[in-house]
Amino acid sequence: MTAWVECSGLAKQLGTKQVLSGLDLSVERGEILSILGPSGSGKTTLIRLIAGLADPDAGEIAIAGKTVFGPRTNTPIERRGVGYVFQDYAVWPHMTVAANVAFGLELAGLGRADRDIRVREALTSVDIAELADRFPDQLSGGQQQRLALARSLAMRPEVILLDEPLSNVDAALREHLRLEILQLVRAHNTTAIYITHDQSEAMALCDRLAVMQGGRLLQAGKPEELYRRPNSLFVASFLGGANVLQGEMENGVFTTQGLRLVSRSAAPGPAVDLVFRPEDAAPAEAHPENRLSGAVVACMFLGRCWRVTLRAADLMFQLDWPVQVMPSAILDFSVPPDRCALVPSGS
Amino acid sequence: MRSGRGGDLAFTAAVLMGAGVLVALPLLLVLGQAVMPDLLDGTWPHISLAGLKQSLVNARSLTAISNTVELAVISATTATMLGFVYALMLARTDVPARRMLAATPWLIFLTPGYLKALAWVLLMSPAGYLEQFHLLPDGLSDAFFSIAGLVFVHTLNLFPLACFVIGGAMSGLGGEFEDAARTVGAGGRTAWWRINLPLLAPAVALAFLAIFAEVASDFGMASTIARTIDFGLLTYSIAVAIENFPVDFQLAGSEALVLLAMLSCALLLDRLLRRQRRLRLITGRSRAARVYALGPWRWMVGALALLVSLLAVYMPMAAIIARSMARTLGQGLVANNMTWRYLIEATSVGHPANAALLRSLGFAALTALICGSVALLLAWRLDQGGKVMRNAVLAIAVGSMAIPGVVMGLGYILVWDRLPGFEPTGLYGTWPLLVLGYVSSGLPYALVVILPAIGQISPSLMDAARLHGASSTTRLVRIILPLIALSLITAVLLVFARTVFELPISQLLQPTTGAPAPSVIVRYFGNDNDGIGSALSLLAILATGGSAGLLWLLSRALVRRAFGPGRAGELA
Repeated sequence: MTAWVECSGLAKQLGTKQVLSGLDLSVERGEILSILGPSGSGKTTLIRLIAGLADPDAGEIAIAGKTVFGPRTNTPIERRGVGYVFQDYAVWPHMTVAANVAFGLELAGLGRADRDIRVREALTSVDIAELADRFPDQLSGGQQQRLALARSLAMRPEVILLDEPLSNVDAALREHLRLEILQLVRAHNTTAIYITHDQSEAMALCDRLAVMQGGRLLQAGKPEELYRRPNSLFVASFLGGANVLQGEMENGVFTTQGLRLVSRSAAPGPAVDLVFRPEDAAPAEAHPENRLSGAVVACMFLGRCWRVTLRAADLMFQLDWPVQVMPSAILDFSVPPDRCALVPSGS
Repeated sequence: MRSGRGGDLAFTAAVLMGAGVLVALPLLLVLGQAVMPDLLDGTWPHISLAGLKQSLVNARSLTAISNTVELAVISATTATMLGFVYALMLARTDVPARRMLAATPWLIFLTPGYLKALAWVLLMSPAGYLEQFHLLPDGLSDAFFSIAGLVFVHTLNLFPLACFVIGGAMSGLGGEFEDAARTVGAGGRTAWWRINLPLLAPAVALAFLAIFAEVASDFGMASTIARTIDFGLLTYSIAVAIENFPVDFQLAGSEALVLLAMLSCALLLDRLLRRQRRLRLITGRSRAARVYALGPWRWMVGALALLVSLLAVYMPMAAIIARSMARTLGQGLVANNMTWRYLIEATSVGHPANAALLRSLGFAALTALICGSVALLLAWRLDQGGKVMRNAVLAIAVGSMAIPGVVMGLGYILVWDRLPGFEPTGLYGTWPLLVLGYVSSGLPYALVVILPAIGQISPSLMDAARLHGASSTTRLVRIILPLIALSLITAVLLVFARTVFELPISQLLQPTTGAPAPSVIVRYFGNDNDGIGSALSLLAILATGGSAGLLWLLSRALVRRAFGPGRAGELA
């Protein structure tokens, strides 16, 4: 069986900039896929192409087994069965909350009674049923966001596309709404593609994570897999703080500036970068084969641990350490070989 | 400048005095005159509506009122429609030559309406240019010299206003509301009908009201085409009541009252519309809307838009150029009808046309400098003070922009010719009073440009300068002035260009020592001297446009050289 949403060979140029090139992506039915990338990586363009809000220059898009864009097909937006939640919500300011949800149902030909039931249901599911008769300008940002979500879900779309829906919500509310969106989309058993540039949001919200850069999909998979086994320096560093060492492989051992580190991952070539995360640092005796030592430069309290910055053989390292260490002290530590990821140099 | 309570009070008093003498007093006298006929007779005045009733119930006034309403409603409708279509074309289609087409509304906006009206007379008259080129179908000339012609010229002249207002709303609206509708199943047409149009409706209504007010208070068309076809309009009727002998201030005041009532209604509706709470969600930050590909219709639409530009700007300008170089209109554009005589006369020192032009350029330059300095000082002082005063001044400025020039002119006559205490100054009939009138009509425009520019300067910039020991004056000269230099120059040049062509105040406050260019131009056309009239118009346009454009480019280059190519000097 093919995927529920399938994009192949998508390319799009905007002005002189190639925004997407040869992009393949598939999403299974009921799956939540987060697409993570810096601004300008083409992620918003990608979901606009899927929705039909813009047309690709090349490639094919299929939703629920039907080709919606291809050499001979271009299904108009309104018949693709996609829901779209916009960054600034785009709730219609001249319609009440209920009318915002009812509009699409009316166009779908639902009778008054059915419509009222579906509107009620949708608003109840996002907890704003009591605001049905208000106008959007009387709602808070979070409430507008819920309305936008309810409006899309009420249409029971084949796939719902969320374009950084939390970027205009303040930090305190963001965490809460994040969980709510996740539960709602799961409860409706809807397939969803969620765009964001916030790595913690992306990892928290999805079944599968895809990282984009410069119009290409770099890596896709389970969040933990990407975090532990990035296939490029970009993925490694975009998913959180990482120590990056530039070096080369000698007899299966990573070498740089006189330091030698053993890694369980296969080397992608002769010139490689080794990546490990600050929280993977372990006591010196834990992994004697990967033992390092350096002079402490700074030590900051982070709450759950101390963040130690140290210098070893002219390289700077960041480690999460359980106890405070004084600057200029010498600290011995080790790195687990299975947490040392090797990526192509400079990727 | 001294700060503290005393300084503040003195400043407030000065602002109130200025606004009082420049705007409030003339306006009050016009209104008072209508309901207190013996207001300026030196006796104790009493309120009487009898005079108002008597002046308004005569056939001529009633016709002028109904004509004004009819013309304003029809023209506002047609101009709003044309403006909507033009804005839609610019904002949402892939029409060719977009840059040129986008410049058209600005060109129209910057050329005075009455000159284009006079040019259209040259084009449409029975022996005019269109007839000579066999471009004028039978009967169209007659149709032009009726209300239809007035509507035609007003529409071409004022659709840019609708284009700006509605185009601004369209770009603020963006495409997401429409896209959201499409994703829940609305087709393109449904999305327009149910989403875009309702959201644009307030802007359409605002454009309609603004154009209605413009047409109702217009003096240029009223005193040219409308006068020749005897289509009485309120503004012209007011001027006639003052200029004819015996002067009928009572009638002029009553008609001004009716006109102001009309404009107040429009202004009130405008305020109510702007308070629409629901529209606050339209942030203007949203993604731009998608552009429709016109396909094979692309060139057709481009040609139609080009036709609009031709009719609204290029043809009238061409007619004025042609007429300024032709002996007579009727003999057409043939070699033996060509002459340099009019252009030579208009450039010869001592000729009345040339004298009028030089006079107007001088008055306009003086007015612009006064307006620029006053607006700068006022804006700077206001920015230091509270919000209340700032908003009050902005409200007075915007409000006085809505007062028709002819009503202002009437008010100035009442103040300086008839009001005890002012009349003995002997200012009436002199050029300083004319310049004062120009200043009162130009100052609001200067303020509207400069106030927001100063408002944009972050207060922390001023605080930082203060902490570094800069005095109030140093801050003005070394911090504010460089930052808003280009806005200031823009304001000065805008007032200059407006003033050169300002018609109603020029007409009503003509100095006895010699009339300014606008009234001389209209008089030439009225006396069938359209050759010299066209030559004078052409020279006025060239001199104003050329000097203003050159000065602006020069000062932009200077500002950039002095403060770098960044945003310095360009906060606007």
